[in-house]
Amino acid sequence: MKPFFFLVGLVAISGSGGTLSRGEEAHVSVYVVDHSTEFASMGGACLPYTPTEKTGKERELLCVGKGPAGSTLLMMAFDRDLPYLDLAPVLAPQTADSEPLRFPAEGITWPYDKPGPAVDLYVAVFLNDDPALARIAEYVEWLGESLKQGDKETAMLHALAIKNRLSNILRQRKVDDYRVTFGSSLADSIRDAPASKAAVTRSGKSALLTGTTEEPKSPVAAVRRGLKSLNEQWREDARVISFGLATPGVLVFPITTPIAP
Amino acid sequence: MSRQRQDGPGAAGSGNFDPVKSSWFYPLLILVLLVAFRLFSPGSAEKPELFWLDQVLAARSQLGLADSLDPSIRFVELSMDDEIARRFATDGEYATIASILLTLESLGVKVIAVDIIYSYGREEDQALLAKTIEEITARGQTTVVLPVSLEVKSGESYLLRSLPAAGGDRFPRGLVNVAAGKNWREYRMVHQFGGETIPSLALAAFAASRPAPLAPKVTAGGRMEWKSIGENGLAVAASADDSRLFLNLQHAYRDTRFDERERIAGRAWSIGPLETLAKRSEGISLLHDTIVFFGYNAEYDLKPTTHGDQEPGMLLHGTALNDLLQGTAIRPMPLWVDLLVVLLVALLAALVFSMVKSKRWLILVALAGIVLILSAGCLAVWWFHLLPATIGPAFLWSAAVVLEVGRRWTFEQRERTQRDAMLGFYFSPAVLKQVTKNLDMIRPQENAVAVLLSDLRGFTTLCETQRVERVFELLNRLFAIETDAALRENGSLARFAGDQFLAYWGAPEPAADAADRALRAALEIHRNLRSRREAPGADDLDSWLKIGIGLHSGRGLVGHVGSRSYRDYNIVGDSVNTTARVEGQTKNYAAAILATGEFIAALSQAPANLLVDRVQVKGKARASDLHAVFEECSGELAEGCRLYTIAFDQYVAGEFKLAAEGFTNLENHSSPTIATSARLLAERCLGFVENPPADWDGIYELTSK
Repeated sequence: MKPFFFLVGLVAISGSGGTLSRGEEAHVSVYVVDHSTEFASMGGACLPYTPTEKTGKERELLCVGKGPAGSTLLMMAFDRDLPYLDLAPVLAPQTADSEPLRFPAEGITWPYDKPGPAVDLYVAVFLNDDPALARIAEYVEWLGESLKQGDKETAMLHALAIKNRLSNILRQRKVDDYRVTFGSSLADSIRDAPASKAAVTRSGKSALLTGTTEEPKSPVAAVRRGLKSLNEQWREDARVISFGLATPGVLVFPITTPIAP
Repeated sequence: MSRQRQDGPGAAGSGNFDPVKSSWFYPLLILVLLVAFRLFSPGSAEKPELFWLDQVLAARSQLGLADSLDPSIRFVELSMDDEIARRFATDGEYATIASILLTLESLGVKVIAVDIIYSYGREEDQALLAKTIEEITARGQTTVVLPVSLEVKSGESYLLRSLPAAGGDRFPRGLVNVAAGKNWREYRMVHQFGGETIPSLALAAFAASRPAPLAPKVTAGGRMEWKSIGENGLAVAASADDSRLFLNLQHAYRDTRFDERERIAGRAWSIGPLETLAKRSEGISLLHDTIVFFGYNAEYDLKPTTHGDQEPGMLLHGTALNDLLQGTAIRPMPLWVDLLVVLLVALLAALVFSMVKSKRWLILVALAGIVLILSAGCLAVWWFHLLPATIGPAFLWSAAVVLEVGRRWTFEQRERTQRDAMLGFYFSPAVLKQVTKNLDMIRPQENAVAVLLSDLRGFTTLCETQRVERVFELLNRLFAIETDAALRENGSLARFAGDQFLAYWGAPEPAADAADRALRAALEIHRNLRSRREAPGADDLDSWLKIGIGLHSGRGLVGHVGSRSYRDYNIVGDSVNTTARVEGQTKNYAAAILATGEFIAALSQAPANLLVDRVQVKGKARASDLHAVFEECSGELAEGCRLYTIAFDQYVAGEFKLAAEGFTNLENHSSPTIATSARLLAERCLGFVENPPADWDGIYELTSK
């Protein structure tokens, strides 16, 4: 009988393998991508975003994230309650072999070329069967359609609805740190040991991680990732978003630009 | 003889309208009263409906089916505790309020809807508060909505504004008046004053929570319009006006169950915990991106509300905003719809009442109707957010049912009275009681009965010689005695035909002792008539009170006979005919009471009697023994009976000569019955001696009735 029970146990474990329950983690990084010619060989230099990162004509913002299989990732940038620069949100179900999700979507840029208003980049992750996901996904789809059609008013309505729902999720979550402030708070969060094998791997102690605010001596010195190889490297800078059943995870990246000289 | 005019239960009678006979009258009467009440006293008519609304919403809350509150609504209470009093005293009220507004801003609040009007402070205080609000507004994260109030002074209406000395009108504003004095649930999203359209505090807070392009805008018609998302994701127009609506929620803002369910830690904050929260450096603000209503707590906000006489008005505005966001505001049904519903219920009631005859079904239908009306009202509130007239129709239905039951009872009582009046002529009170309990008893049926039939001796002569008044006087004396005796023995009366009296036992209620009762009644009649004749005060009319009584037992057919206009409960059949024949023979045998052999056999104990003859009466196939019944039989009468019996046995045996001698010896007997019967049979025997009958079987065939 023992082999039988062993088999049953294996089947049960394998059957539940695709179903997430709780304590899951998604990861997300935000970069300033510099397309200066000096980084052409890398496809562009990816600098982890900090509020002090300077703007430039060749620069754009890029958010990269990945959730475990069975989850869905949402990324959207808000200027208060409205979609920043009419950037359509991205929302994609995650599988084990899916590529990391990028925001803005392929072919669209989020320019980081001049000082602008404070923008909140919301990254949310849901279990696929989370009841909150269905409605938000509907709004995301509608918002995308409205933006394509240039129906600003309807797009604003959908964006507002998404924002309200994300805010509600934020209030409901008992998170200690929902708003990413690169610097000390990031260093604090690193002290928490990653809960899964998919957790962040970090190499060395960068000035960023040690909480020091000193400027790098050269912009090149801060460059550690190239856009071409980003898919293999982004996790090393990633923030963790924990989530679970009926408790979607939300992280807000406040994107500000340095005060114009 | 009795007669009864039979009217159907639904017949309206001839000419005059009788509401007791109409199942339509009372529902329509209540309908008229309700409509009049609704039209002429709408406020009073609405009160029970609003009470019903309370109960429905409370029930939904108790059942856990209440709509979840919009998670973005919060309340901050300013309670006048020692700390606030100290701050008011040291920093000043306006500075304290400014500090609280800044605290709320620091907590990420999106909109602060202030439900306290700061109008009367010093100019510099107003300026201080206005400056703070201006700074908060400039930072762009939080919007402060200030209240205005519609006041009346010396009969003049005016708008009481916030911070009038510091340009308070430049900030978003909302009107805080609620019709609390009239009805705490009543709310208007938009108010009109002096040609100006002013949003309520709830609508103003809603407007402030939206980006400017999406905020409600005043239209030319005094409405406020905005866009919202429709079912298919398309933008649809929404609007609010100054029409009445009723706040939906049974408040649960302080109900921790709701907060736990929503995993939202606290909807209502007092200042102390709020400031503690603001000092926390870690974690998300529980008021992040929320719309906060800021006002006095119950003790200082004296508006009557859902919760009682002392509740913060801000809860009403919060409820109104929640209803606005979720589209759950309850709208009163248009008057014409309510009136139509009431009319339909009245017509349905009348229709049902006219169709349902069974009382049990009527009660069931009545209960089902009430449940249906209340359920429909409940569903209209819960699912469609409409307040239809519910108590009115339910009252109409209930009252109509009560009146219908009363109407039917009255009708039955009247019918019963009429029936009693009719049946009272037929039956003794005891039998009548049984009959009225079970009217099936008087359906046509065949029963074993004992029949008594009497006939006045010499009635023809009486009629020829006496005046008509005296004839009827005599008949009434006779029938009174006979009726009393028959009814005393629970007999049923069939008819008074001329001088004949017919009573019977065993129908409509079967009776095992029918013959015994009939015999007792016959003996009593006989006794009473004799007493009457022999009484010292007897007049010459009493001397006519001599009757012959025939008694017989057999099968009798009983039931109503006649037409719709003339009916009679009667007994017919062979038993009655036989009794009549037997009674007809009483004078031939000079017998006061003559009973058939079947009757004697049916008695539980045979009385003193003498088998005077065995005959086959005219028209009958079977022979009957004729027994003369005596009250008592002793002495000479007993001896006479013995000798008569001997002679009769010889007669039956065909020994006519011996029998004739025996009968001849009794021809002068002191008993008229024995003497007369003996003479009759002696004469018959002598005749048989001369002409012996062929096939003699002891039965003499009578040739006349």
